[in-house]
Amino acid sequence: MNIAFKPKDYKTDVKPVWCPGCGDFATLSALTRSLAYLKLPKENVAMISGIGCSSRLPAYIDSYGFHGVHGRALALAQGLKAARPDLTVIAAGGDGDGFSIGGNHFLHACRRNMDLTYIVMDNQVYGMTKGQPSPTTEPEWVSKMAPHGTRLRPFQPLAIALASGASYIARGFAGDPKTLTQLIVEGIQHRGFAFIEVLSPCPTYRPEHKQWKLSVQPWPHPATDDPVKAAGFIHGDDGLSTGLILQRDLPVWQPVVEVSANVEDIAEDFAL
Amino acid sequence: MSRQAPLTIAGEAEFLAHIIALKHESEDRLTTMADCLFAHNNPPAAQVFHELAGLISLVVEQLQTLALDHVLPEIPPWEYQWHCEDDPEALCMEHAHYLMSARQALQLALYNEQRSVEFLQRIEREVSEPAVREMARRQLRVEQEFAEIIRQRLADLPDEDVVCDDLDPPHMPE
Repeated sequence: MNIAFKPKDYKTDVKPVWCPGCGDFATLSALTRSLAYLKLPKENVAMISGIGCSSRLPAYIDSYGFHGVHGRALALAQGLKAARPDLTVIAAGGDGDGFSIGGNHFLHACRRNMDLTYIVMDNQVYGMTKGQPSPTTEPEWVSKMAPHGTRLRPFQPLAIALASGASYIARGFAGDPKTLTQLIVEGIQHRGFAFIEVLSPCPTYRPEHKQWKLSVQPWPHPATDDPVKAAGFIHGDDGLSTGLILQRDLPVWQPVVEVSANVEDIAEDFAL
Repeated sequence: MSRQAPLTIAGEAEFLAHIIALKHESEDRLTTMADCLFAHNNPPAAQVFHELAGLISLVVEQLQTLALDHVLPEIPPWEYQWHCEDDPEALCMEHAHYLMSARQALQLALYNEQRSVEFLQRIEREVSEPAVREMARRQLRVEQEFAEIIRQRLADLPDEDVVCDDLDPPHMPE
């Protein structure tokens, strides 16, 4: 039997505290499968996140990781990639973290097109803080936290990513881990900023998401490198189609970092 | 999104690659679910998944011993020939809930086991290689025995379903 990397090899002993039925389990599974398939050495992978249920992901992946501050996953991930271009950098988080608190970083990460992967587990709610509407929540969704609904048009992640210049745009679904794994593998292999939105059901605050399983369909168009075509497809979509939408070659931003100090110098500065 | 094309498992090594991936995932999901339900203060359902994960790990060991005589192909995760969106025993997570009862946990495990049985029956029916069909038949017996254990446990449960108290209820939509 040949020795191969196994998805289990990339899991830590930390037990996920997500609610049973949470879609984030499928993303965790798809990620470990992807890392195993790509045979990425753990020490060459860095998982970066912000705050929220899904942002707990770095604790569950046996690689380098950083559980950062709210909305700053991409700022941290880009900083790391700037300093260590040799690493496979994967940023992960939720819709609130990525599109509200971190919305500005999202726009500029798409525009900057650094060679990293950003996975957003979109459950259309702030689950960790007990169910407030998020940027992607439907305007008419009524809860104790929003008794009249938000009455706001939802944030459109794919359209914003496209308009901001992302070079790989895809949508996956937690209920279809095979396709999700393929999207993550291709996103990691893509040279540039790969954005993957994952429809990730929240069984506790959005139990109606169970219906997604019946409504989600494969993306009905071939993946394109033409942003004009992609824009038309995205605007005609109901938000429940999954697959690779756009992939194109764009210049990747990667600064040349000049080393100004070595580890010994830095340690000396901190010496007491 | 179900796979409808006939199965084309070429040999024993490819069959073993499928079935080992399937059982690995099963063990992993059952263990994860057990841990998760313990964390959510639901020991009855957690215990069900924990015990089933222990039984599956024995099956994994047997299959790995069998695999020592083969060089298993590396199959991209999206090219496994499951007849459903995911590995047949990768618990349908949308049916799990932190308040689920032991009965619901067993029903979910049985559902997954039945999907595995269907997958093996398809191999028996559709694959032309006799050695693969024979391996599928043997594995099918293992899966059917396992399904029977779950059915027996279901039958042994008291009639009244025991559901945990919700100690920290969410603010649900009104």
